[in-house]
Amino acid sequence: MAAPPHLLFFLLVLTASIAAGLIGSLVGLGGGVFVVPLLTLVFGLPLHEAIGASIISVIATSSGAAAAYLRDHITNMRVGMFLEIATTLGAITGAFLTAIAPTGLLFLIFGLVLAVSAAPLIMRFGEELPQGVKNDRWAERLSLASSYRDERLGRTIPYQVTHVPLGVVMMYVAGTISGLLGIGSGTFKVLAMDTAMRLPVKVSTTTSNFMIGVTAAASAGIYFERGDINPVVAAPVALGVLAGATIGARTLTRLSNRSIRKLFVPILIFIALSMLIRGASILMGS
Amino acid sequence: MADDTTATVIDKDRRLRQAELAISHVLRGGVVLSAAIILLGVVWFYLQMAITGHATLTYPHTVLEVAQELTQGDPLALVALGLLILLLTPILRVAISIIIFALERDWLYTVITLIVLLILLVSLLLGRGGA
Repeated sequence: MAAPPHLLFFLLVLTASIAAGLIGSLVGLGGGVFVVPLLTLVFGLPLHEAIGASIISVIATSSGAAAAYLRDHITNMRVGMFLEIATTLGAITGAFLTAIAPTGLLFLIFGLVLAVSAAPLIMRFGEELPQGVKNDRWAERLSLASSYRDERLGRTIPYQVTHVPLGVVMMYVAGTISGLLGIGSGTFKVLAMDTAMRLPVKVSTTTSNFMIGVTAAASAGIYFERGDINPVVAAPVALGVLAGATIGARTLTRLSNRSIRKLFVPILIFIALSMLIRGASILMGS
Repeated sequence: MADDTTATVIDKDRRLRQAELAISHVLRGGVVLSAAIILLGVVWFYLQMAITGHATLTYPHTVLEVAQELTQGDPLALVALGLLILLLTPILRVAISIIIFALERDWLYTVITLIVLLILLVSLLLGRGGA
């Protein structure tokens, strides 16, 4: 199904995508969380076309934002690279599953993924610097511990890493969700590093942004050759999200972790409900 | 980290920062290049539509099709090329990381990163197989 190729369509999608990219990068997501609901609920595009455009925007956000973050020396490259084994395998799984899953079910899963990911963030407000974390055997062997310079606190924060096997399992699930729904699933990556491996939230967020591009690339190739990436839709989404993410990346280090999370939760809940309602109406209508 | 000498730690840190900087340049370069090509393709597409009054909405699905339709003057093939470059950016990042880890003689992370690259390349082949 072809999208309406009007210039107005391009400009509207572009503008909306700038907003999506800005918010997405501020909360440590790929932007896809906002792009898929935007394209389906607001612009009425087919789900698979939205997912295809979204996965491209996820790569744009990740690459654009990661390029800026790296010079802040917050991203933990070792943690990111090691966990990418799990996320890319998951992404391939997800890209195959999405082709066979019913549309209504995908909407429901999308809504549930957002709703579930909002809950722990509400309950764990403000764990900016986790205390008493000791390296586990895997973290020791893989040299995962590191430190970063916190501009807001004005000092260097050393940290250790724990529960690595649990983190790997959660990362595989995060990758599957990414490939299935065309989102960066930054939420789940941050959760794995934040809740299981107990990295400082700023490290989790930036490392997640760094990882989601590689995760997304694993499923984007499959989407591209399947014909789910329509250039007329993907172009304004990629350009818009990229512009928004670039602006967002320059603002992130000046915001505290708490304000990032507070911004994140209500938006997430609203979108989750919208997607759940759409999924339910499709399943009941068919 | 605790049993390393301070000098080794500082040296490791310096090289890691160089690696981060190199990857940062690749990411930025790939993104800027792809964005420019996508924008060019979009301008071409809408200009062509404004002048001729109609537009072809079919688009290429493989690298080969992108090349073929580019030579036939299809603006959407140019957009697709930009999207492909964007798609390849993180893969190139992984490839460069392998070299950097190998230069550091960090064999463990050379292997880990190599595994990631292999998975990515396999995913591209899986797509070609007509998933």
